[in-house]
This record gives sequence, structure tokens and C-alpha cells, in this order.
Amino acid sequence: MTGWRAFSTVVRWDVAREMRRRSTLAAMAATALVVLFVLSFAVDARRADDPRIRAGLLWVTWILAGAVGAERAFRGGRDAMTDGFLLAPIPRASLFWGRTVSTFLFTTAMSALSIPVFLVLFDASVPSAGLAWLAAVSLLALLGMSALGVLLASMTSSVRGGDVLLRLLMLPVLLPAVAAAVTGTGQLLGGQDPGIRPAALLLAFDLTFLGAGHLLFDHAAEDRT
Amino acid sequence: MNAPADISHPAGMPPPAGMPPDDPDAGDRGGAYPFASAIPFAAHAAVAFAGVGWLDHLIASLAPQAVKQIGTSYLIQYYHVPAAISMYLFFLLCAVAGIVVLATGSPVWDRRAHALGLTALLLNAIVLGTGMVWGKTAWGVWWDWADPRLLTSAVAFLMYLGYSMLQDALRDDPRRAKFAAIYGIVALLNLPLVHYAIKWFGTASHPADVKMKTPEISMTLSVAMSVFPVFWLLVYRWVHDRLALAARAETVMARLRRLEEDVR
Amino acid sequence: MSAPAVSARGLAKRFGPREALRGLTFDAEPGRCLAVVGHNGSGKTTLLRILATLSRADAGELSVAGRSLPKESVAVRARIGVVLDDALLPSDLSLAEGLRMHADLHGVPSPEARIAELCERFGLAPRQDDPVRTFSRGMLQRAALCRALLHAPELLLLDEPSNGLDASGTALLDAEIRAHCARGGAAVLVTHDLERVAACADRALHLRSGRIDADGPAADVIRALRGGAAA
Ligand SMILES: Nc1ncnc2c1ncn2[C@@H]1O[C@H](COP(=O)(O)OP(=O)(O)O)[C@@H](O)[C@H]1O
Ligand SMILES: [Mg+2]
Repeated sequence: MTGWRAFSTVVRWDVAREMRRRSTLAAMAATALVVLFVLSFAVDARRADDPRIRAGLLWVTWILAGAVGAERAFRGGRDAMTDGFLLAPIPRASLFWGRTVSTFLFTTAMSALSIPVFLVLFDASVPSAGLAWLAAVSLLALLGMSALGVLLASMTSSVRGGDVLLRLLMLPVLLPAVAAAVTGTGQLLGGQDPGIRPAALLLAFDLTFLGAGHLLFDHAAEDRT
Repeated sequence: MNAPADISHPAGMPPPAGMPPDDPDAGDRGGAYPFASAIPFAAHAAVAFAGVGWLDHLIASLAPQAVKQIGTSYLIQYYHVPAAISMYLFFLLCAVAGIVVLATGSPVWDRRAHALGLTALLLNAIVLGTGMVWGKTAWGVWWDWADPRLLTSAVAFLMYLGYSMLQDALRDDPRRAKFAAIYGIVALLNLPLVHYAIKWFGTASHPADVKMKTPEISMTLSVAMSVFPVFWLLVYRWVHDRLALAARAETVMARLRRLEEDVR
Repeated sequence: MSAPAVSARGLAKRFGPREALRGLTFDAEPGRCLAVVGHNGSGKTTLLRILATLSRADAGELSVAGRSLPKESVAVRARIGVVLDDALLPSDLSLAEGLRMHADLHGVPSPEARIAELCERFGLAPRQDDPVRTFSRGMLQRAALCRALLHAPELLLLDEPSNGLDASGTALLDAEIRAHCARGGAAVLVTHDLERVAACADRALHLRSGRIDADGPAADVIRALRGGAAA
């Protein structure tokens, strides 16, 4: 089976499973909703009119919900889905890419679902001028997050206490992507031109961790018990 | 220096003759890891700090008159800069050792990587501490959000804290060496990204360096920089030997258990 | 077919300080069933997971289905059918869908017919559209056998396949293994059930603390083990 066919088979069946039960998406959306609500309460949404703060709240929400998604992609050491894929005659790298893309699709869906809630709670509006940039920056950041999350979760999910460990390991590594995404999103929300830097840094982040996952996933997936 | 070596952990002792254990692998070997038991680690830190203090004293006596007039607070730079440079060197070496571990599965390189990561974490703490002291004297605050280098080393600290926690959480897991190696590589790859993220998107306003460039200062600094890594290589060896000792103790215990099994 | 289905030379695996396998050397022939017996913790599952490419030996040379490991692991996975203690079917999907997923991953030609045939043979046809999470232990074991046989593998790697099976399931298992070997396929059967060894295996390895204690015709090894237990 070629790498491309293997990759698309993984994505197709990950999505099919999710469509059947919608458990990952539901868990992520619920997390996003709770976090968003608590945060907007905590900072007093009526007065949080600094676009950078708003962008920060949105990204904190997406990161916490995204971590839930990454964990679920490899739930427990006894994850029939993962071990079954590990026995398939496909390169490990195809499994990494497929899992990354399916996680990316789920986090994107979750993010899209939470945007209306965000707009309502903060009485915000998205300026139509920067909309394409906003989407590009968000998608780049979510892709990098998914790649890193899949690589790290493939290790921590079969360890006891792995969900806590995953967050501890993932959040500091995510910092550059968060900084770029928050800055870019904040400037776009405030009607400013963020320039090329946020997108450039996010692109570098994505390439780094897609590359790392491509090369290292083989080692991360071996010896699951 | 007389830190407990933890080889005689009672739970790991062979059971009395005639009383075979239910599970020969039972028994907590957690104490065999230096990071799990804080005492050797604290002792290590104390020695390191004393060593650095002595070094600094030495360097201070070499420092040019111009610097002495500014006040000793500037001398912290003689700690801070070489420590930061050694720290990045150790991060790099830790990832390189990790690559060797992934390629060969070598337990020797695994131990090197582990010791390099722990030593780098200790260095990182010193970099943060001295950086904060410097920030206090130069800008009047302990934590300066406007200092890009301080922020970068804080992020590095969080990552290598994660590294040591991963090592610790997987203490008895056969995949520990590989997973730690992977995270060591991931953390190193992230450092340039962190650097640029903080430079571009942080709230940095200070210039990164406020060094006075006189030939004497540069000379003193280069003396410090050549001595410091050597000193930290010694610390690294110390950590490494602790880990090696613990591993040997485990191997001996495993051999004893195997002998028992074979006799039965 | 003359190349051995499994050829292991000095296979070793350690978990930290614990040596799970200590230099195993053996072959498994095509058309034969090799049983691996031994106490709990003797290294049987560890061995099987290495053969199945889920784990990697620390030392030794290994070829499975004529391909060397770990280099050609993708080709090996295409040629083996594996039963582990978990059925490895997604619990939210129906059995037919789960098998369809594995058929897609293996590139099985005309998967629908193949799945229907296997479900029929293992008595799961009436339940094939139910979610796998509603299955009993024995049904899961049958489902795992379906999954392992789906792509008509050359080599079967079975870890305690009779766990949870009733008498008819066990008879079915024995018949499948024998039919597979009669077609020229090979099987490695890990079990502590000497009945199964007697019914299916041509040769048996006895593992003890990660070493081969005995390797010979199945009947001889069984006799030695029964004798040892009686003594
Ligand atoms: N993931 C693991 N981590 C640590 N030790 C393990 C692991 N898997 C197996 N072992 C050890 O390896 C030995 C062999 O185990 P196993 O192959 O599962 O035995 P069996 O299947 O024959 O009962 C046992 O001592 C077991 O404790
Ligand atoms: Mg077993």
C-alpha cells in the first residue's frame, strides 16, 4: 500500500469512527464552552476590549480543548484503534500523518464551533478585511498543535497519569505557536495588519514538528504495552 | 561529599532463603534514581553553587578596575553569561545523545543523555536565578517581562523540567530511554522558535545586552567562559556516575532474582 | 516453500534490568504449527510481540515470513495475522465495519464477501452489525480470529487464542489452525493449554525464564511437561 493510500485510509477511518460516536468532538466542544465561559467571567468580558487579551482567551480555550482531542486520539494503552493500525502493513509515518490530519480536522471543527460563542460572549465582531489572514493564521497554528499533540500523546497515552504529563510536556513547546497566533489574531481582531511574521513563525513551527513526527513517530509507537 | 547512594534499598533486597516472593519483580526501585530522592540532588546543587561562588570570587579579583567601580552586581554577568552558554551547550549535547539512543538503543548513551538533561536543568535554574538578580539590580524588578533572554530561559526551564518529569514518570517503563530522547530532541528543536517568538511577539523593550565592551571585560569574560563549562562537565560526570551506580545496583538485583528463579 | 516462516538467532529482549528473552534460537517451518509453552512471565507474549513487529529485539537476528526484521517490518505486517489478548477492533464500530477497516488497511480484494464468509464461519453473522463493545469475551476472541485471517496471511501469530472460547469455538480454532497449515501456511501458537498443543502443534518450544528449555516434537515436549508436573 502506498504512503498516500495508507494515509487517506487512516484519515477516513478516524473520521468514520468519530462520526459514529462524536465523543472526541463532543469532549472538545464541551471543554471549549466551559473554558470560554469561565474565562470571560474571570476577566469580565464587558471590559476586555483589548483585542490581544481577547485573542489570548480564545487561544487558551483552543489549546485546552485541543489537548483533550490529542489525548483522545490515543486513548489509553488499550486503544484498539491504535494497536490495530500498528499491525497494518503501512509505514508508521503514514499513521502519524493520518492521525495528525484527523486531529487537525477535529480541532478545526471545535474551533469553528466555538467562534460564535466567543463572538456572543465578548460582543465582538470579526473585521471582514483580515478574514482570510485570520483563517490562515488559525489553521497554521492548529495544524502545528495537532502534529505536536499526536507525537507527544502517542508516548504519554500509554503511561499512567499520561494526560497530566501530556499537558506538562506540550504547553511549553507550544509557546512559540501560541505567541505567534495570539499576536496575529489580536492584531487582526483590532483591525491592524500583523505583517508576515506570525504566519512565518507558525509555518516554521509546523514544518519543524511535522518533520519531527515523520522521523520520530516510529520510535514513539513501538513497544506499546 | 557523602550522598546516600541508595544501593541498599531494603525493598529491593533479596527475600530470606526459603521464602520465595510472590512476584520476583515486586519491590520499589524508585529510590535508586537520584532525581527521585532529593537529597543527593540538593547536595549536588550545593556543591555546584559553592564551586561557582568560588570561581566568581576568583574572577572578581581578575576583574578590571572599571568594573569594580560600577559595583559587584555587574559581576553577576560573569556567572550568568557562561552559565547560559554552557546551558545551551548541554541542551544540544542532550539531544545529540538522544539521537544516538534512538539510532542504537545504547544504554550508555541513554545515561549520558539523562545526565546531560538533568545537569542542563540545574544550569538553567542558575541562569534564571542570576538573570533575576541582574534584572533586579539593573531594572529594579525581579521578574522582567521585557528581558527576552530571561523569558527564553524560563521557557527552556519548563521544557527541561518536563524532560526530567518524563524520565521520572517512566522510571520502570522499558520505553523510558526512547521517549526521553524524543522529548529532548523536540525541546531542542523548539529553542530557536522560542527565541524568535519572544523576540518578535514578546513585550521586549530592553536591548538584549548591556555589556560594556572594554578589552579587560572581554578578557575576564572569556576566562570565565572557558573555565565554567569545564566545571560543569565535572558536575555532569557526578550526575552521570550517580545514574550509573543506580543502574548497576538494579542490574545486580535483577541478576540475583534471576539466579533465584533458575535455582527454583 | 522452503524458507523458514520464522528464523530467530539469539533473540534477546530486556525491560530495564529484567531480561525477558535471553538468546532464543529457533525456526518455524511452513506448513507446520509451532507451539510455544511456558509459565506465566516466561516471555511468550514478549516473543510474539517481537515477531508481530510491535516490539523490537535488543539483540539477535530475526526473519519473519522470509523478511528480515526490523528492516522490512511493513512487508512482514502484510504477511502475518495476529491475535493478541485484545481483539484490536474499534469498540464503537460494528464488527463488519471494524473488519472492513482492517480489510482496507490490508488492501483485501472484494472485502465484503470475505467478511461475510468469515463471520459466517465463526458464527458471528447474526451479530456482525452490532457494535463490538457489546460482545462477550468469547465473541471478541472469535472476532479477533476473523480479523487475523482476513487478509489470508502466510503466518499466524496467536497469543492464547483459546482464552474465553467455548468448546465449539475451541474446535473451530483447532480446525482453522490445521487447515491453515494444510494450505502450506505456518503458525506460532502461544498457549499454556497443553490440549491445544496436542491438537494443533507439530513442534513445541518450552520457554523458561526467557530461555528455551525444550524444543522438539510436540508429543515429546508434552510428555516431558506432564511427567515433570507429576514428579
Ligand atoms: N512492558 C513491560 N514492562 C516491563 N516488563 C515487562 C513488560 N512486558 C513484559 N515484561 C516482563 O517480561 C517477562 C515476560 O513477560 P511475558 O512475555 O508477558 O510473559 P508470558 O506471556 O509468558 O506470561 C515478565 O517478567 C514480565 O514482567
Ligand atoms: Mg502472555
